[in-house]
Amino acid sequence: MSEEPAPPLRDDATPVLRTRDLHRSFTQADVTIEVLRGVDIEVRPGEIVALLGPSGSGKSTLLQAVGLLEGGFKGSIRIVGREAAELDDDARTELRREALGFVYQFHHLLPDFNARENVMLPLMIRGAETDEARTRADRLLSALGLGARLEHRPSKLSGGEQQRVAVARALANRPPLVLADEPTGNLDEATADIVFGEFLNLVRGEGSAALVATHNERIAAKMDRVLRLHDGRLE
Amino acid sequence: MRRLNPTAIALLAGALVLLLLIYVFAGITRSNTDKLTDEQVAARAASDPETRCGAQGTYDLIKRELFRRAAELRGSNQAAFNQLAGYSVVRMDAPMLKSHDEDIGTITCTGSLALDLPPGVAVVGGRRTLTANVGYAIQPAADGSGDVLTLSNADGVVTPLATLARVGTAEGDPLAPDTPEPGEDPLTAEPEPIVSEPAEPSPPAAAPSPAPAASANPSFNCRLARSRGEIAVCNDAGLAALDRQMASHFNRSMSQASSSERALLERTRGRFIAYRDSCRSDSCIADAYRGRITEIGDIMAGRWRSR
Repeated sequence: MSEEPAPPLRDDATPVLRTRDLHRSFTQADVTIEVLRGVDIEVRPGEIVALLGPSGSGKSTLLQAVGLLEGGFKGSIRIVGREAAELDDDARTELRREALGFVYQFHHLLPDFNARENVMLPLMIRGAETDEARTRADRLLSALGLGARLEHRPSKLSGGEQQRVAVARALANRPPLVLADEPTGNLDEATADIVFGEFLNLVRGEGSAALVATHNERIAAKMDRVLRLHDGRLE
Repeated sequence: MRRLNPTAIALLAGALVLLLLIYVFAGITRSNTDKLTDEQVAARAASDPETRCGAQGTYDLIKRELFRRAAELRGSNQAAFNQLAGYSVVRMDAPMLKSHDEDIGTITCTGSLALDLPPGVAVVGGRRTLTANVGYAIQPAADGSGDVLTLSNADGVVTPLATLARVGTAEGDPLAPDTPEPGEDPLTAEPEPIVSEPAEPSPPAAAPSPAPAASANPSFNCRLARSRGEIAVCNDAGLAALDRQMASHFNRSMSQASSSERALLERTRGRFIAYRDSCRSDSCIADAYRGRITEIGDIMAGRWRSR
């Protein structure tokens, strides 16, 4: 009997992210700048997608939008099938907490808490018991090579280690979608390659999808698909 | 020489004592007219900007805001967090007045905040004390219902506070008398999982879904608006749009800022809010927002200079 090939991503699977005709503009000193000009995106479960574009192309604005971090957009954003425009503030916060993980260029770890505690935070906010949260945090940090640094505060970690902790924190709740904005943009090239490789392995291992904004072609080429954003439009 | 009559001497002495007593009592009465009553002392302390920065009433407002934000982040029952707030204590080291707008009574302060939680509960890591260097502004509510607090740089307290959990049921646990039924306890209940809606067929490329109208809401929750500026923004779609634009600019900048830029963005935030809330017209508020957007851009471009 011949071996069955791995099934492709189901075409009818609910996208973890879908935007339709997404617009965003800013007005400053009576001048209106259109940052996003009708962006349609779909990210399917488990898919890792690069959002590639130069500085000022609208990458961060797009991530802010799909991360439900701000309003003021025109168009449709659906996260795990839920239309953001139809949600009130509480439901929006809940969706962000349950369905999304965030990794930024700067780690934003809480300085008074050690690496393990920083990763436990989102788990316990969701109601996980302390033991369960600690086990999960230790497993994620160990997978990122930080098994010996669990009780170090951020100030005692290197830049690469801090960013690994931020990656573990983003994946702690097994979000269907991770949004990453230049996740290794603050690291030197060699460290960035290592940390990004670990990020990809962990996202794939956890079965999450990811939308990763970057201006780096080499980093983008490591992902499943590349979307090119230029002047507020996808090419 | 004629000798004085003892009776006359006694009368003279009595008169002298009487005069002395009248003098003493009159003096006390005069000095009392220079003193403030207890009510006057309290009123003067309440209106003194320095004192307001470190007043218990201000700390109570800060405590309620910390627990409100934590409950919101947790997606939990606000009442349970309110109950815990009642048993918690806010301390502030070195509360310092940064600015004072005498026209509308707004003060802007900074300080090193410590929140002490009661026995029986703790946050991640088993801690019961959380600290952060915060900024806060106090302004009388536009509707006269009390003071309105604007709190900044408090994530170091709010985020861990949202992990609040019981750590035992020791006798005397302040939570014990009102412990909800199992399954109702917002501090232990499991959240409902997100359930995806059934898949929808993608619309044809030639006929994309119509875009819903832009929301007229500002970046904050208008149900909680109390300051003059917030109420004005909630009542005007144009101001609300400016608010969203500014908030977007701020959030994006915060996500890209260096630590020193983040500190500057936070530090200038309270001043902007105090200025906006001092405005008497919508055009003034609009100008405040435009100025803030420019200021954020200047900070991120390294052009910002203290004014």
